[in-house]
Amino acid sequence: MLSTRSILSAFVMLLVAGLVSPVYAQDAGATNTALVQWSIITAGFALAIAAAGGALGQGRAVSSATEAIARNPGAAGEIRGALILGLVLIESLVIYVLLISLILFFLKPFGG
Amino acid sequence: MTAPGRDPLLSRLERDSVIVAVVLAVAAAALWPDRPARALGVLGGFALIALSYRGIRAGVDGLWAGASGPAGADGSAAPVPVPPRAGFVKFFTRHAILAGGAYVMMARFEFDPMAMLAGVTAPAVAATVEFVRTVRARDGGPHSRSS
Repeated sequence: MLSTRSILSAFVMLLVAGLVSPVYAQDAGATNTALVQWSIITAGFALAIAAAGGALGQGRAVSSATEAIARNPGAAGEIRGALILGLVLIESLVIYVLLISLILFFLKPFGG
Repeated sequence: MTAPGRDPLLSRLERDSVIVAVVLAVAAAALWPDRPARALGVLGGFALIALSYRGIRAGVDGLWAGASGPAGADGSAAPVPVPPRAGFVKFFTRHAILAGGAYVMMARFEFDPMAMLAGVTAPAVAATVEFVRTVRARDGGPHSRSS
């Protein structure tokens, strides 16, 4: 069974490997171009996955809320507040990914 | 039933979110006085999530108006001041508005992206504060553990 220390060590080694990997690059320009291309592709996929996940979550929230209201119309006010709060929190996660994707699309932190 | 638009939970969350965003913006302005883009980024990110909140709330209110029928017909539904059609337009176009707004803030106004992410976090922080407040109230107040 993996201990917490071994998991932490593996994580630190992964971080270090990610930091030193550009040292082994022979052609910095080509690596940078590939990194930019992959970052844009990754941003597109991340946005698609976030939109799909957010839509699924919001659909489930609305479905559960309408079902709960149908079962107990007296609690509709409280359910409405919780529904709006849940939708906003799900939406905030999608906006995080939107912002990160826009950073990768337009600000190009990896150059290019 | 609580009338739509006067939910105390949502009112507290709105107030706490505004407070969190203002505190973050003031902190950013105090920590980096030579970089106003960071404080503006916090406010820009908060504006994005506020826009999204308004869209969601308008959509839910529109749904409410459509589902609850005539105002007060069954004694449980209150009139909703938001026109359902405008609410649905806001609800379904909010992502396009958000993407356009975020692009303008980030690429044209050059707001700090990380500060914008911090601004978007404000409602989540407010929800956490509300959760802690609820738990403490349920446990009998802040001094219940020591007693």
